[in-house]
Amino acid sequence: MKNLYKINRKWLMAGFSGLLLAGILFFSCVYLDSVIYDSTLKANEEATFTVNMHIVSNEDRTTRLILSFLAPKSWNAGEHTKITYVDTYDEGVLKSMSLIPLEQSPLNEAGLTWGEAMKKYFGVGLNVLDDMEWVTYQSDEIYNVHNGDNQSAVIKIVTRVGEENMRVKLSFFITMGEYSLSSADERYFKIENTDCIEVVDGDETLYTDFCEAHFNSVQPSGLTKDDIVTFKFQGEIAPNELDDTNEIYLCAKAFTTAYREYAVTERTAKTRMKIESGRTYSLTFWAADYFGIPEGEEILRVEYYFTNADGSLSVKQTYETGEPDTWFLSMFNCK
Amino acid sequence: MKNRYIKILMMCLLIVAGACDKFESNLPSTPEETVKEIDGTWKISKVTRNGIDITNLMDFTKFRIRFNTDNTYAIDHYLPFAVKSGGTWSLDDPQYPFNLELTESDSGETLITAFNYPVVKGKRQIILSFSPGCKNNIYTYAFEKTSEN
Repeated sequence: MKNLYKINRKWLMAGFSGLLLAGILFFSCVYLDSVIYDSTLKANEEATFTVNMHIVSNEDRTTRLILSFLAPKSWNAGEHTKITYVDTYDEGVLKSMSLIPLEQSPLNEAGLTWGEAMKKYFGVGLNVLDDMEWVTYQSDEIYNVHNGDNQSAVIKIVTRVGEENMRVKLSFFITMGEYSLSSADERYFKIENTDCIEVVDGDETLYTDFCEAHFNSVQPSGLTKDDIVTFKFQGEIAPNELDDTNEIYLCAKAFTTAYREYAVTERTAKTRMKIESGRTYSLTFWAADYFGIPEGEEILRVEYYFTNADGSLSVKQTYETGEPDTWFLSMFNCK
Repeated sequence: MKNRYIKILMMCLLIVAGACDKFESNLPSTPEETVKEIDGTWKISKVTRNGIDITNLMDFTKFRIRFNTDNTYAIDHYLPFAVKSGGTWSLDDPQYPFNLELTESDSGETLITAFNYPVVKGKRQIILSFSPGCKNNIYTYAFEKTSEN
């Protein structure tokens, strides 16, 4: 009996070791070596991002190269991007990547598109606003990767920058084929974030800072009167006049295509902001209903500030140049 | 003795063969998928905007959509939705629907929304996705049936 136990244990250990070894050996390590980009981009012009990568494979497998990148939704990158690359499998041959079809889900993420799954696991990268999307491409070529392969690729992503001036941090993600996004093992994929990139020469009224939080934010950034909009006061950014109150109200005016102004400046339950956490308060509403915008009119912009219960204290847009404070501005723009 | 064994064996074979025959004739070869019954009044249980849960950020509790068996629908306490007024509804496939088609009576406009019909925590849900405002913003409403008429 003791011998049988020893034999079983021996086989058990051997089997376990084999499984462990298989886990260690049978995968392809993916490396994202660098992302090259300009730190300043021009609005409405094409920008190029170069991703240098390589793989080291310890298995034979048939797979595609997958690249996903995080960009502002307003860039509509899925329609304005071209991705080409060269690799050391076929030196000098220019290859291409195509958008992954919406009906194709990542492994173990049935029902989710690649974009939805990427957002689930990687959010909006290092940005502070949500209006970003993951756009995912796969190589048109299906590779026969062999055990021992050590191959590299240089991928060029050419995308059209949107019309708004902004500051934003893009992210780039690569993987080979069918690895699960939920895996904690980062040998299966790599992700790289850019520093804050400045977009200039565009529409300054639509300026958005994705890199850094401010007292105010409005989400989502692309809006019409029939959207549900969230106005946020982020009081922890810096000391401010509203530090000593927990009753914070939104004071706002909507300006429409009919040259009318719809003001909601009362301080009531309707305008009182809900606490989210710490000193962050938000108010979410259907814009047309909140401002009472009739059919046939569209909101062009909303001007707003944050105030206390009696209206004696407020937080507005300040300027380093010393100009008087103004109301914050949110353009209702949808493109 | 030998004959006895043969008789027993034959009887067993007959029983088994008979049983198999009966078994095959009574079971359908493939189970039939049920027709998706959506008639009734539905309330919102969850809302996402661009994948972010906003259910608790504003009051969605009053919104109701009532699907009638005559393929008409009505909306109470309107909030941004795929359509703005009542009309008629249809599914693209009664057994395996992917889309719900809603046609407004007053405008005649037809909108097609992605349709999902899962069971979540033991309760049947209807999940619809649409963009009532800016086309870049995708809203997903999950509905649960209420006992209201």
